[in-house]
Amino acid sequence: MSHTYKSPNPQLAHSPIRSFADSRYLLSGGLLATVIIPPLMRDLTGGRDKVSVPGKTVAHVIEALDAAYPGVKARVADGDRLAPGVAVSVDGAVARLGLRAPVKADSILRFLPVIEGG
Amino acid sequence: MTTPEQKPFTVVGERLPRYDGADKVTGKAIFGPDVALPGMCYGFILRSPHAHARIRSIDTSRAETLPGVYAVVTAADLPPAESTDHRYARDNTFASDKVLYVGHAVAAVAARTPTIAEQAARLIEVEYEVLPAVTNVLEAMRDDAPILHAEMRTHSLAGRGDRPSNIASHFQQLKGDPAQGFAEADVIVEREFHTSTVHQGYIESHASVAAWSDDGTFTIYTTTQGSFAVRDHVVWLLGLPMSKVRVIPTEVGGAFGGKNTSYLDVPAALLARKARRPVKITMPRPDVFLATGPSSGAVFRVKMGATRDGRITAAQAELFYAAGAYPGSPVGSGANVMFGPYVIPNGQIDGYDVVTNGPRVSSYRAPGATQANFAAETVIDELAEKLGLDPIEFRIRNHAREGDARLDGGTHGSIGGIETLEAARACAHYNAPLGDPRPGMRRGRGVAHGYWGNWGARSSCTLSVNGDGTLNLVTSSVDLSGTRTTLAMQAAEVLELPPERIKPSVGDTDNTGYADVSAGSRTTYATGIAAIQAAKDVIAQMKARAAALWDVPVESVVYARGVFASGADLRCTFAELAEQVTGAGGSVSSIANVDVPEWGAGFSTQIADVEVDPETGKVTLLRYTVVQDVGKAVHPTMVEGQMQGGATQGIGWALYEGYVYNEAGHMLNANFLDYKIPTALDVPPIETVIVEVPYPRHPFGVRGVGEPPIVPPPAAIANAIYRAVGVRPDHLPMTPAHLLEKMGVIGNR
Repeated sequence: MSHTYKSPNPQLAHSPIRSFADSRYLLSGGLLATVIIPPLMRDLTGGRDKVSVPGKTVAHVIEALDAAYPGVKARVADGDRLAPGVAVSVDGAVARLGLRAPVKADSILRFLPVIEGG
Repeated sequence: MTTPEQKPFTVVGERLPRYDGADKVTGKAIFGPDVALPGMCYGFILRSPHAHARIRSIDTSRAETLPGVYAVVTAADLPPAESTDHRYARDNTFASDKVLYVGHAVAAVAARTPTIAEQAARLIEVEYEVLPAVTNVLEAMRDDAPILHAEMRTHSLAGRGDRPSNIASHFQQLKGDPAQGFAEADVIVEREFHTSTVHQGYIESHASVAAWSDDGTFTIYTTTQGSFAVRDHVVWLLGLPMSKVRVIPTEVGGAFGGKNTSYLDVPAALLARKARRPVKITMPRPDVFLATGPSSGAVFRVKMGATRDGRITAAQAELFYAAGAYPGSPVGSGANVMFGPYVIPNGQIDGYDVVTNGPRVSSYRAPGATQANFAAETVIDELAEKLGLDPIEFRIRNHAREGDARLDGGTHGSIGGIETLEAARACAHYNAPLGDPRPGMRRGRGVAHGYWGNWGARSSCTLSVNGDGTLNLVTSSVDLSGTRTTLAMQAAEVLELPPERIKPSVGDTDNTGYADVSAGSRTTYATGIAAIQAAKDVIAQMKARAAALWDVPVESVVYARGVFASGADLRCTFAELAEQVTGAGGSVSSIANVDVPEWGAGFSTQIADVEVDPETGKVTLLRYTVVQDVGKAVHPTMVEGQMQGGATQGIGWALYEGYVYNEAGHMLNANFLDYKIPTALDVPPIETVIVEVPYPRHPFGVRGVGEPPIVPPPAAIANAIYRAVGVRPDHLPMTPAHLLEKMGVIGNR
């Protein structure tokens, strides 16, 4: 569900907030995590390969992504865990905690296939 | 090279005797099958004779009444599964409704002797409904293929499949515009490759001895790469508190990733609890092939383009990896390293994880990389040849540097790939004449280049000071390759003490901090960081004790070369201080727990000289060199051993090894006679060139060394065979029959 909101902040006067994710921008203190959108999911984001959303955990970020771009959550999550074969890296490190992994205000998230060592 | 404090190394870089060497060469070391406990009995596992079948019924009554039998267990003895992954792990322990590969465990028996246990297991009556089986990855992807898991739908970031499939998942990496990149290319090479399932071939089989106490505690002695991984697996499947399971790792006679997974510990634990006595299970060699975790057979379709001046413009690949009975092949890892060494301005990789009727694959030394590297480096070699460029020069021109983006979206950190290529180009082997072939033979020289990302993760190290100034170092990181020695060396370097003052050992889950598996070439690197931190903390504690003893400010206490001092008059040796402080004020010890978030990739360039008999297809390896960036060789002899051992396994993968299945899904070569691994008669002395491009995130510059050397051998040998006989192998293993087919001497089979 999207909201149209006109911010009283003069810096945002010409950039009306158009989405739920954007409206939470103000609540997050102004910094958003950046999600690198995998090629197979860019049909959901209108071709965008990077999206910025708020969130304190990977789960929050996915919820925010899904609110802005419906269908994202179904692609990357399976109930209360990441989808089979899917891992997520936060700031370059694979997030061992999966959906519960913490996310900082300016983190970069990336969805990847599971990798292992031997 | 120097330490971060710019002091020359005094311990790191030396070729010291291994702490565990004497016990291992004299037979005193305790391996899993050596463990014996009072009252112990023996377990035997009944396995499926069918590659794919429904289980209609299991009747264990006759087995239970055989004299000498203490317990019989099946899937019914396991708690119910709570998730899909849990169900897969549970079913791979004991099949419940279906068996999915020959060797799939169905039941287990504990009895007074191994013979009685086996006899009893043969009395268990299992009624099967045999189903069609599929072992080939491409056939498993067909719409009409037998379906292993009726509920499985293909998972992809493009959306979930809507019908049953053996394709568990699909992913894609994309950069730039591949179509445009190929349009800009002057030369394009496109080929398809097929590789067979191979096994790690560890000489020590699997073994587990489980004991159960009336307080509900399990103690498990097991051969494993990770005692905490075994503990986590047992508590997960049996629904127990973690504190109720103690795992004691035994010495390991080879693992290479294949002992990351627990196979016997849960059956042994279940039997021990039901029999109320310790149970030992050891796995016979055929079961190791049939029912543990080999590496994926795979199919690759590769296309690459380059300009006339030797620049790669585009690369594209499809990777199809056989996962075995349950999802989880290393297709992601293979994709990551396939084109990873190079700058690819336009690229796309599609990877598919496909279930097949075989044992669920597990890690094997750079999982997924060797297969993918064979495909990519063969195509790169062909591009170089068509462009008239030296194969090493072509690779250098396109090589990635720190900060370059990879196809998987990440960027390279500090890497030494160009340095290994340059060292290979300058080495004696590359500049030596190939020599004249024997009459009727053909000779060729080939090169290949590869890398592995390595790993960091969680480790723990405890360092305790004894009253005589010696120290005990205990870690939970299982020692697969001599790492207790390299850890003690790193601690000794920091402590500025002779390494023989430190006694390293491997602890268990009850008395050490958590560690991830010893895998990913991480132990000397990440646990080394823990050892260094613990050593620094010991020095800090000793300084504080000295300050208290001398009644001086702690900032005035300095430590160097084993001596503490304050001002001109106060000084004592480490041993003297230890004697004083451990007698009063409590012991001095430090535990360092780390979770290392970054690690340095390792690159390896390898050169192979072969002689091929064009009448028989037999390949003789004449000379072989491994050039590898190791960051900093803590123990050069061990590093050279890793390089030689990894390359030897890659040579076996290239020329000899592969699972052979019949149409019913039965493996025909489940023994070391028919599944040939290379011996000293098959491999020439392997020359090594150690390159050191220090990794800045480790205090001594260490990079993982164990996995990179297994990556390039098949491609290096394939490229050498091409230069010998003019055909490019596209199948692993490159058997004589395969070469004769490629040369047109015999028809396609």
